[in-house]
Parts: sequence; C-alpha cells; structure tokens
Amino acid sequence: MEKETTRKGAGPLETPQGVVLHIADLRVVFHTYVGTVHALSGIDLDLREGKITGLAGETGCGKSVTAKAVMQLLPSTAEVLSGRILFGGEDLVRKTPSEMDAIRGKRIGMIFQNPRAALNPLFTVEEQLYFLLHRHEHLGRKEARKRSLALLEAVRMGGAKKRLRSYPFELSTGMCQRVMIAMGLACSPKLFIADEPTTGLDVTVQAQVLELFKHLVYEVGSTALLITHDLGVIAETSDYMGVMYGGRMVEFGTTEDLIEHTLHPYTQGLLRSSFTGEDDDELHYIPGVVPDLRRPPSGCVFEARCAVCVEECRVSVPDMIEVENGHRVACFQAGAAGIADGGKAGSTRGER
Amino acid sequence: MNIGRKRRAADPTRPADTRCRPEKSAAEGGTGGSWGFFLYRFRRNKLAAVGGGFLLLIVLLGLIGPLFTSYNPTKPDMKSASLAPSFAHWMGTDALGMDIFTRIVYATRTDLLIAVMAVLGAAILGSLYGVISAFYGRVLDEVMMRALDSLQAFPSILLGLAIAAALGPSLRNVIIVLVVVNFPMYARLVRSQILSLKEATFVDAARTVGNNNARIMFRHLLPNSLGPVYVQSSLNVGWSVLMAASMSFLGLGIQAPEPEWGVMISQGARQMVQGEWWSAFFPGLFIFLFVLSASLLGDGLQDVFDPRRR
Repeated sequence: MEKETTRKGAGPLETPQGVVLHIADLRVVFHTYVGTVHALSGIDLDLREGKITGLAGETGCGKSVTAKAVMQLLPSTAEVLSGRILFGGEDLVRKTPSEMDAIRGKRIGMIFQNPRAALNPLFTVEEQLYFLLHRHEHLGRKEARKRSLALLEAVRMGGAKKRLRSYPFELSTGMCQRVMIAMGLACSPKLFIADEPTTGLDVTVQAQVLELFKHLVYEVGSTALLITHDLGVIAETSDYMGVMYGGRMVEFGTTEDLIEHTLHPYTQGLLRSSFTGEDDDELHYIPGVVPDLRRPPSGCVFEARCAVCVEECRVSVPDMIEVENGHRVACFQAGAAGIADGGKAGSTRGER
Repeated sequence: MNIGRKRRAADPTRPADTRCRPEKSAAEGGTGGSWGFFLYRFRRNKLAAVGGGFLLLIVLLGLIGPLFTSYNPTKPDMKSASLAPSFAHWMGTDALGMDIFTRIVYATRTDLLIAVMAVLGAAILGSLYGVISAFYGRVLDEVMMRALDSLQAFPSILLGLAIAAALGPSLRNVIIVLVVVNFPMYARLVRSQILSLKEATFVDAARTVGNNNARIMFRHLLPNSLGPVYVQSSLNVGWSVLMAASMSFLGLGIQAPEPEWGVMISQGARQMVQGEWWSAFFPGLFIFLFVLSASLLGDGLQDVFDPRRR
C-alpha cells in the first residue's frame, strides 16, 4: 500500500482487494490526569470481506479502543496521533461528526458488552428500532413496524409482536442483546462490530447469541469484527483472529493457524490459560502483569512476562513478519526451536 | 433487505422457537406497565397521599370556589368593614369590608398561576442550561457554572427584591423573578445527572445507530435525567408560593387590592393589634397548608423516584 502518500491531503484511499476495513499504523493516546497512556501503538488490521475476524487480548490491551476508533466514538481525552482507517474508500479518521452520524448504523453497525445498558431505558423496542429505520431507510411508522417485526423474528425473539412494545427492563439480557443485534444489522451494514457481545450472558444464552451472530453476519453479507477476551468464542465463531497485547497486534492469521500453529509466546500463554477440557486439568496463567502503558517498554511489550525472551527483545520492537500465507507474528523468537513446544514456557499454579 | 424472510427460507424448521420459550415467560411478569408500579409505590406512602389530596382540594377551590361566594373580591364595602367570621362572611371581612373567603378563593388562582408558571419556567430553563453545560463540558461548562455561582451568591430574597425593584411590581415580573432565582437549582440537578449519564453505554449505542448531538442531548440524556426534576419541582411549588407571598408582603410583588395571599397577610397584619386576627390568619393558614402539602407530595415523589429505596 502507498504508505507515505497522504497524511493530510486527498489522494487515493483505496483499500486492498477484498478488504472492507483497512487500519494502518493506528496510534491512539489518552491524555489523563495521571499521564499520557499509549493505548494503541501502531495497529495494522485488515478485515476480509464476508469474514468474521476476532480480536483477542486481556483487559486494557486496546481491543475496544480499536473498535471505538473505527466508530469514531473515542472519548474526548483520546487523541489519534497517526494512522488511517479506510472504509469504503474513505478515511474515517478524517470524517466530520455529522458525516460519521450518517455512517453509523447505516454502513457500520455495532453491539456492546452490556446490552441492557446499551438500550435507552425510556424507549420501547419499537421506538429504538423506529429511529434507526427512519433515519437511515426513511421508513414511515407502518413500514418500520413491519420491518421491525421481521428483524425481531430474524433474531429469533419469541412473541415478536408483544416484544415491540416492551421496555428494556422487561427483557432478559439475552433478549436485549438480540434487540441490539437486530438494530446493528437492520440496515445490512457493510461492517458489523461486536464488542464483547457475550460477556454478560449465561453460557447457554452465549452459545445461542453467537450462533445467531454468525448466522446473520453471513446472511446479510456483512463483515464482522468480534472483540472478546474469550478465545473459545473466537475459536467457534471467527475465520480470522488477531491477538493484541499492550496496544500492539502480536499475532494475526486464520483462526485455525493461530490455534494449531501458535507462534507468539503470548498467544500460547492465552491458549494455555483457557480451559480446554483435556486431561491436563491444571489451570495455567501468564506470570507478571500488563505493562504500564504510560511508559511502554522500549523493546517488545511482552518481554517482561515472556519466558523465551532474549537480549534483542529488550532493545528493539519486533515487527509483524509474515511467516506463512497470511499468518503474521511480531516476535524475534517466533518459530525458534523452543517455541514449538513453547507450551512449557509459562508457569502453572501448581509450581508456585 | 429483509432479514426475516430470508432466514425463514434458510431455516424452515425454526428450532429457535422452542429455545426462546423460557425467556418469553420470564419477561411476561413485567408487562403490567410502569404506571401500575408507580401508583402502587405511591399509594403506599400515606403522607404523600394526604399532601396530594390537600393540594388537589386547594386547586379545586381555586377552580370552583367562586361558585360558593357572591361577593366581589376587590370591591370595598365600608358598611361591613372588619367583621368577625360569621355565616354571611365565613372568614370575616377586612378593614375595607372585602370578604376574606372570596379574596382567598381568587388569591388561590393567582398564587397557583405564579407557582406553576415559575416552576415550569425554572425547570425548563434550568434543564436546558444543565444539559448544555454538562454535555459540552470543558470551558463552556466552567463558564456556565461560574455564572450560576455568582447568581446564587446572592440571598434569594435579596436578589428577587432587586430584580423586582428594577422591573417594577407586577404578576409577570414576580414570575420572572422566581424563574431567575430557581433555575440554577434545576441546572445543577440536571447537570449532575447528565455528567454520569453521558458515560453510559446507551449513549455510545445511540451514537452507533446514527443519533447526532442534539438528539443525544434531548431525546436520550434529558428524559433520563428528569426524575429528580419532578421531585424538585413539586417541592419547589410550595417554596415559590412562599417567595411570591413574601415579595407581595414586602410590596414588590402583587399590588393591593389584587387578591393574593401575601398581600392579604400584609394588609391583615395591620389589623392584628386591634384583635382582628382573621384577616391575616386565614391567608396565612392557606399558605401553610399549601406549602406543607406540596412538601409532603414532593417527599413522596422522592421515594418513588429514588432507586435506592426501590
């Protein structure tokens, strides 16, 4: 891609072939009263058309900030230092607020972690849907009601007719999330962002909602970005996955590649600390804590917690390097001998 | 495109219906409506009901009271001056021979008008002020709040008298004074609500479906912050009447011979030394009952709206 061409001026803003959302070198800082937090330090991400891409990582690694940056919903304390977010031939970073208002809901849909809090408590389901359909599809009351019913049926909501008149507090959390999904997909957006969509839900409801999410995204022909800290969710749902750590992307590839041929020690640690149900019933964890992003380390962000780090890791930041078709990793030690069975690199609760 | 139709075509067996059933029945209990719940809470609070009842009676008195009296509220009748309460004059007459009951009835209209207009005006102005200040924040918020500080630095009765003295005494100006004196309270109330509400997820969610700033402010944030405003308004109604009466008493509000509770007390007070207690007592009693019932109602509303007591 033409990296240096346009920072401020016009110029070609074309996304690569088959890519719906192209994020390049996105840097975001938060100016807080305890200092400047480097939330994103140069993220590159391509979302392939018609695919679901998962983003995994611990709290504070920058997953949600990435989503909010795409939506241009960063809080006022945030500042985008550099980077481009190309969507449909336009750079979202340079959009005015009113231009974004026209894009949100119509061309990009989004759902949130806590669906109950995401619905305005004073509006019925019908009113919530009506605004959206009226604003973007210019539907009247009657048509909007018809469409809303169809949407609620599409998200498999029992008794759709009655649910139209319900307020959010009359719905279960799972049903609220179904309403959110209906709203998110109402205008068949090109891009659909789900920020921890199942975190607050019961495990059984979680599976239903994920199934629904997957089904509808494919059916509408949308492209989805699924953000979660639950690798199980990603493994079941996404085609591609990225792993983030400390405001950087550390590994990216197809979900299969990432899980079968894990290259980054952090991804390995994550996989080992999730419950697999295999005979090894020890619960693993990654020692140490997330680095303080007010003073990001000069070398690799994961260096302090990494079991296989070498001198080079402390000094310079590893770039994302393509290992095999599309599988990219940011680690000097990736593919080194110790990594293949690097599963033994972490610690277990039993040892300490 | 129509997702619903497509889905059914893709999945004719519809296994989802059975899956949804438990959720459906779980939520059915809540469809009684928020009004039923509201009334239930309210009826439980006896004192508030008493307050509300009294308030209703006073409003009724203002509306249909003139049917029970044939006297003119502003026409002096020196032949029947300073009469004690009797069957002809239920609450006696004042020094100019005007029937006290008749004057109280008409004064109720004036005072209710003042109270309602003043509270409505202050609540609307204050809410808008608070929403804008909190929503845009930063410098604007700072400037707007410091302006309120300087307004509130004056004792309210002094500020009211100063404004009334500048504008001249009239019904309209009393309302203006009350709005100016009261709106900072609403502004602060709404501002504090919005400050916490604007971080709520539903605001982000509202943005993600394409709501602009104005809609976020007035359709999403403001309606969600009105609960305390209702409570404050109801408490404020009583206080406004008290303030209006005080201003009239001091001669900068409604002017005699217009019937108004404060004016009547002011006139009646001069008669007290001669033992004519009724000409000041009855308007005073009405102010007392009105303010008391408004406060009781307000306290009751507070219980209803306060989530911690639910």
